[in-house]
Amino acid sequence: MRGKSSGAGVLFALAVAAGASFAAAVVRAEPGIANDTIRIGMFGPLTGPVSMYGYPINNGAFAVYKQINDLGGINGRKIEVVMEDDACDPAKARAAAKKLVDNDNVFMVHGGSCSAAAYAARSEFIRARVPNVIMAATDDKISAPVNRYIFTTTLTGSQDGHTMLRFAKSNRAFKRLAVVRHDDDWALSRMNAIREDLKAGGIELVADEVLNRGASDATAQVLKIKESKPDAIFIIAYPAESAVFVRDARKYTLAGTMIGSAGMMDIMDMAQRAGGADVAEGVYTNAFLRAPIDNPDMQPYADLVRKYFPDTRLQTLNFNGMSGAYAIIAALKAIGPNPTREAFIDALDKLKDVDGGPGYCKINLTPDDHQGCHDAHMWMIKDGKVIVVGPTWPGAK
Amino acid sequence: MTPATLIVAGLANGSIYALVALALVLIYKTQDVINFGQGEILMVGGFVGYSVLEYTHVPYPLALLAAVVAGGALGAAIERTALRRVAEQHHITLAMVTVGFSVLIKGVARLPFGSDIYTFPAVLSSAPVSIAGAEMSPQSLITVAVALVVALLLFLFFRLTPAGKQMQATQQNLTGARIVGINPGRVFSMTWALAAAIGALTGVLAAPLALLYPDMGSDFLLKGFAAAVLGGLESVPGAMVGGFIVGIIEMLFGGYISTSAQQISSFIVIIAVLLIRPYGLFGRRPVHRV
Repeated sequence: MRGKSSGAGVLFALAVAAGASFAAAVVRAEPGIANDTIRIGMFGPLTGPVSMYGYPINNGAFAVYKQINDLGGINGRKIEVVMEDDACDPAKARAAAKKLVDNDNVFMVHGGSCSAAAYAARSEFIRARVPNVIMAATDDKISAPVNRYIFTTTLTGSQDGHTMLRFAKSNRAFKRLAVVRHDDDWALSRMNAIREDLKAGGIELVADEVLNRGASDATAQVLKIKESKPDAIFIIAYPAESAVFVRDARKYTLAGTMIGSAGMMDIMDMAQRAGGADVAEGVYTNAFLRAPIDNPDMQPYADLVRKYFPDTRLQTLNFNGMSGAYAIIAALKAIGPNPTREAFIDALDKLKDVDGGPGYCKINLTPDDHQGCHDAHMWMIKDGKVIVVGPTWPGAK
Repeated sequence: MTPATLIVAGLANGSIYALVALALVLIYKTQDVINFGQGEILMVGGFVGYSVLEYTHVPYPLALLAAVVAGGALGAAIERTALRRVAEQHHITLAMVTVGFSVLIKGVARLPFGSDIYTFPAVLSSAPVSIAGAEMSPQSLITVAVALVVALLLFLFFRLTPAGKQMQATQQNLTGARIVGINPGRVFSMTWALAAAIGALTGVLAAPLALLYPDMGSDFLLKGFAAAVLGGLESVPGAMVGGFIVGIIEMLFGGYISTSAQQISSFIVIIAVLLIRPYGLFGRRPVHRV
């Protein structure tokens, strides 16, 4: 009798222990983390009018993850990517974010290449307490003021504007500045930063003209700017409209140095659309990549894209999301073999001078600053080629 | 800044709008429907011309001809396969069919071309020429000239050819045309082919000025529609004049008032004009016999 009761007690104790350890395991299980994989979500405009910012950007980051997997993964786990389409539409972006978080149970999300879409998805990630490292969207309000769950490693709109004006000011001969820009949030984030810095003096804003999205003609803008006799002209427009402006600027012999925002970084592509490299000779562009894609510095990253996506046409966009991937990998490595979202966020908050791969910036994040890149430099077309100029005017002190 | 330069630039853009308006008017006169796919037909013309130039390296006129033929075939195919089947339905049904084709054509274009922006080479160099103090690119000059020639040819077609007269008869009185032995189906197909051929031609002319991508047609459709309404929706000369006016207004508005409101400027003026002349500049008040 005693023996029987003792056996039952042992069985009961074992059952309780097993149940307790199972319960603990359930409690400990972190979404998106399995024994051999870490599931990361991605979203972007894979379809629709701006799908040129979809797969080309996402696949660049994906190539970085594929390489890390081939090297053995992170602490024994391989990265698994789940990709969703937002079509650059805020409503679809929220749906994509919900699906990644609630259905796919991703550990974190590396995504958002359209500002409006990324901003719309932001609230879903904050609600679900899922970390989101922005892929390539640049609107400042996505990542500032700081929210614990939202990070970016790309050059934001305001930083784009600050670095453009810093470059112009480094040429002391520039006294009169004209701006041609879109009138959307993307352009305003840059323009507001420029206006803020202009208060310090040194350069006067003599023209501020709007070029609408989809414009096929910039005659009125060019002629108005020509009348204002600027020394420098900032172009804050998407590549197609930038090409239209540069083409018409040449047509009407607009004098002054043209300096594009980072939106014009694929400057040779823009030049071809404007009518050829000679049309854009002497045009500058802000750039958040370390060098143009045919530069030897970019070779390792270009090879990465070619290796994992051999059918893709190599373009500047392929490198736009890579710095985020390197930051994510650095944070995942730092938190060791038992990753949790909160530990991952703490690790992101401590990233210091992380190599952004093809990015010009070293990535620095703190709990008070989730914008990891504050710096850019200039490229220009010279003698039919894209060359790196630097952060200030050549020869400026 | 000389007003002449702005007006000449406005004429160049306006001639594109005029050609789009012309195509819209042709179909509206025949079937009482606005073709919401006209912008996409323009885009198809641009891409056909581009592809022929890029892959066969034939002279520009041959690429233009290929685009016009392809556009015409597309227009006839749309009419024969879809519009003919719903020809007796309400106008909204017909309009929705054209909306469907607009989406379909754009989607199909994205399959080979993606969302990339292509550069259509200009026929002539981009160096501007000066005409009476106004600077103008040779490409713009060609665009204006072609628009005027197309309008003239259309005028002669309607006046001098049996096909043109049959189309006019069908437009004026469908029942009467049937009684005198005209085949309305054939006339509808011809009208769609003609309007789409003009659309494709417009695409080849617009592509060097506007860049080439699957979504390029929307803005041209909107401006062309505005031009057609301004001209009177059923008037061929009205479409041409409306197109030129829309082009010039937006250029002068951008040059002298504000570039930020340039895109909506022509619509503001059109609303004002229509408040005074509800049937457009060349339109006539409909007469209902009782």
